[in-house]
Amino acid sequence: MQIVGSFAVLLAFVLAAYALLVGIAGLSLRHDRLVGSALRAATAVFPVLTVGVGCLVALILRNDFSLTYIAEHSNRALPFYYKIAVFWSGQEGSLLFWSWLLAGYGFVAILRSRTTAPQLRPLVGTILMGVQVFFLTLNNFVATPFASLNQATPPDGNGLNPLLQYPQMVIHPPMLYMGYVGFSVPFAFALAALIKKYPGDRWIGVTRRWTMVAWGFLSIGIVLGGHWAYSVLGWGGYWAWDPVENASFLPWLMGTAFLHSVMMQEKRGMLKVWNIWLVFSTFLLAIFGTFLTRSGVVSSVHAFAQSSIGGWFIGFIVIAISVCLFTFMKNREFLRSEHTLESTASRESGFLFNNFVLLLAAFAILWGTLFPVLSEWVQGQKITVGREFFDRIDIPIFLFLIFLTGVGPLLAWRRTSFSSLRRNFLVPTGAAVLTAVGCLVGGIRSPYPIVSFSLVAFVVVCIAMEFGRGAKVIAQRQKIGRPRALAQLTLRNTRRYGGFVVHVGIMLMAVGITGSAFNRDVEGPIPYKAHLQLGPYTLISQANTQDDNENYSSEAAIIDVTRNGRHITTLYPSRRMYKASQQAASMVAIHSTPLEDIYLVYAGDDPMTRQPILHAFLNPLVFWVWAGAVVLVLGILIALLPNRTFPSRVSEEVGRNAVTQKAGA
Amino acid sequence: MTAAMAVPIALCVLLALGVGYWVFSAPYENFQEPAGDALRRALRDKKQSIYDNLKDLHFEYLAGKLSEEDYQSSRRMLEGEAAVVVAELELASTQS
Repeated sequence: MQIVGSFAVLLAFVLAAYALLVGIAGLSLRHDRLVGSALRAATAVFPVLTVGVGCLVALILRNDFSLTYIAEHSNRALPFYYKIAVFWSGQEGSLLFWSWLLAGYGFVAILRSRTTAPQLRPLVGTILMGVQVFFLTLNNFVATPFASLNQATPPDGNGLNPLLQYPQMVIHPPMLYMGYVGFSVPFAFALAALIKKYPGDRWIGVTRRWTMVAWGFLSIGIVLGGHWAYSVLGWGGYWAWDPVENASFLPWLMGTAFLHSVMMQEKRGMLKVWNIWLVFSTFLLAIFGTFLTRSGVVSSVHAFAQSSIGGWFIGFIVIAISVCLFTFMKNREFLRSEHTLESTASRESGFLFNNFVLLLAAFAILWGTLFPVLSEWVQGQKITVGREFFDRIDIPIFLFLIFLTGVGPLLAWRRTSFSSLRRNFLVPTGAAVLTAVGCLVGGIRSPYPIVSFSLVAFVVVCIAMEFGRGAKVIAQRQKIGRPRALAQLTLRNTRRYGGFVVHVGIMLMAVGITGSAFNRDVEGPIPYKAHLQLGPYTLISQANTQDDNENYSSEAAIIDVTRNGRHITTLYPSRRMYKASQQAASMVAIHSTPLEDIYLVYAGDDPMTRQPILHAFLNPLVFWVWAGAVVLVLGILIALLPNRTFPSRVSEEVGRNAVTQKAGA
Repeated sequence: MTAAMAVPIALCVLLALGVGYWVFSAPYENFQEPAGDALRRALRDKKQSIYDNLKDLHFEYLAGKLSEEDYQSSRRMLEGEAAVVVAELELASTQS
């Protein structure tokens, strides 16, 4: 199986290289047979690589410790689902996973583009194979997961990193990778359209849909990563501005900017240069994120690999930037804008501001992330910027972004008159003011939370008005009830109204994140029957238990949580010692409600007194971070649905009649 | 070569042969798009996009989001754009 697996990965490399070289030759010579053969090779990479991946997973499941990768990352007692996660938990496996996902995306993109953009299909296939050749070079010649151990086969492996032995970790990396890898497809379409000077804007629609898919996966991956950090790392939070977290956030911000500015190109033929560079940058940042995670160039709890692979990534990024720059310089007249900005009070301006702010946020995060590396180069001393830097810079930026989220849809394309502005802004502004007053009355004095809650109210009311007004029109014209009208409204323009649902999700997450301004924590020894006060809650130690199984031994505290003498819940924070790796890990216990989370970490025994130490956190509104993520995913799914048409008097005739008259004139 | 090695090697050979057949037996497909077709496709897409914009504009007006002034001005602009595209499309069709 080792032979078949490694051969399949090598064959996939040969196929990708063939598809790249023959594809370039066929396109240059306009030789359709060569192009057809190259495309077939490109589609064959996925099934062939699947054979390789299948062999590796089978070897992991069979505990074949004669392979270095499996001996280093797995062990016999590991449960089945974590053994699957072994596939992507180490350097070599995760790079093969990258290649496999890219092959899958390429397979679907090449097949689907037969109908969506057939003329771009050969170039898209060739570009994707260019990326694939890079990753398969790593898989075959730099970091192969099929390498044999140089010593006798050990009876058991070293085991999976304890931090990764958590249910989210089985889903989080695939989602994150689906996001990272997915950005290769819009990159390929955008570059292909630029190389070919593809007439019309059809390519931008295809690029947008693929970006939406990748962005959706990346969003899920980031949130699952946050949930994993919250539940496993035991410091009471879900986002620490860690370099690897930031690395995933950067392409997300760029992708978000593109998903907004692309509307200006589709609706008004504007910002074409900007959009193409956003697509390029998103892809390059996704590769950069993989580089940060895999190279060990920055210190991070998420960087599980320390290796010399960074040089390869830098080389690839330099080549990719050179190709983008060369193509852009050669064909930039293809991206000439069809209109100019006519007014600052227009939806175009709203999108432009939104883009500037997103880019500003991305730049600030990139700067903070790379500062330790840059400072070491310049001064020879590594200076790390902490959470304070990111909070100080990014909180105002994100608050402004929330404001723009509400403002954008209220503005009309081209220009908005004062009467329209007054009509659309009155109610949301009133809601924001009322919320601010409510916060002050409720005792909140800190400015950021007040501004944040008020802006969230502003945006949510804006979105509610969008749905309400639209549903009212449909209900009146179709003589149907409001709920049905609401469904029709959403389904006839899924992108727009799905986008609004995504915005609602983001607002719920903003509420949850704002809650962190009110976090509290307490730490102390908690021997049998001792009490610890956490805000209004009393934590009472009832007992300590111990457990032992093949994979780990554990020690747990049994803590009763009461409020005003009333029993709320019993929590079991524990500490595990994994036998294969001889590493310890905390298992956090969380009682979550929409209002607040009680979060307990069993911090082990005090070395002096031998008494168990409990670190307890009271984290308000965290629930809404996860709830918002669910709504966000729902919005993405709606936005990806094709639009449906319903019989309506607000029909195409409106446009057609007017245009016919005008054309006749 | 041992018997244990023979099976995986045979599988590898079969895989390579199958893939080779798939790659080199590609049927002929025309990947070139005549310039005229590309132009007409682009113009048709643009026309559809302007119609969609007009429908959206009308809907936003009915929903009360736009003042009469904003609606009329945007509508005139879109109708003008559409008229140009329709004329270009007719010209491109005549030339073909």
